[in-house]
Amino acid sequence: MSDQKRERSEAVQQEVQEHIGRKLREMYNYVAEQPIPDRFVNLLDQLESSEDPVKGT
Amino acid sequence: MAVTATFRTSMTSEIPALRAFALSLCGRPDMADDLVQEALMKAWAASTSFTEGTNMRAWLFTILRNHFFTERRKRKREVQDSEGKYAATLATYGNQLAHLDFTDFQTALEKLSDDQREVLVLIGASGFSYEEAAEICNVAVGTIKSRLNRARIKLSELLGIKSANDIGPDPNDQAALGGPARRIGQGGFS
Repeated sequence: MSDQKRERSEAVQQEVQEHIGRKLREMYNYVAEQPIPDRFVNLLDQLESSEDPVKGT
Repeated sequence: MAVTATFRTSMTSEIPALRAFALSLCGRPDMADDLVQEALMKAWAASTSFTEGTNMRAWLFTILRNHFFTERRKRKREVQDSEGKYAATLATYGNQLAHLDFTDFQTALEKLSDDQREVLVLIGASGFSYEEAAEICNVAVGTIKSRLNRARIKLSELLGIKSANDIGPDPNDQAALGGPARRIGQGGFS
């Protein structure tokens, strides 16, 4: 009886944990799968072109 | 020394993950991308402190979260803006995100402390090991584990469920993997 209860609560726990993990990853992955916005490409271009060419090599 | 093409390429490839991490931390898409921009600029300026072949993602995450927490401490006294904004703004991120029924989850996530949310995201979503998360947050592995544990308990309570111990890898498995954690350059950032 108590074994059954424990098994059931463990199963619920497992389900809960999986639910939280899945939600978290879904949310995170949704953003991580977006294309890189132009502002960041432009930023890196800017940083690159502002480097001192003398120091550079 | 000039920033190498390899450095730029590998930095660029981490931008999507950085954006996801930044949004998870602050909950505000506009602020998240500003954080990413600041982190990229700092990383560029500090490129010599990065050792090629080490974990670029962890290095960039370290820079971003240090910047985030520094700014947050600065502003805390001026504006208390956290209430309700996390969930509200995250929900506006895009139709698709709103469509995925994250409302309850976001509301719950918002109620965690910054420390707890950070650890939950690093381990539960970004897939870092306990050791890596400890390096990124500059705390002991034990601290990471206890934060994660509190985050899980609180989150499952908030979601109306009793217990959750299993987000991310099992602590014992992590210990069994052994070996020293990879070094992450984190000198000089604030």
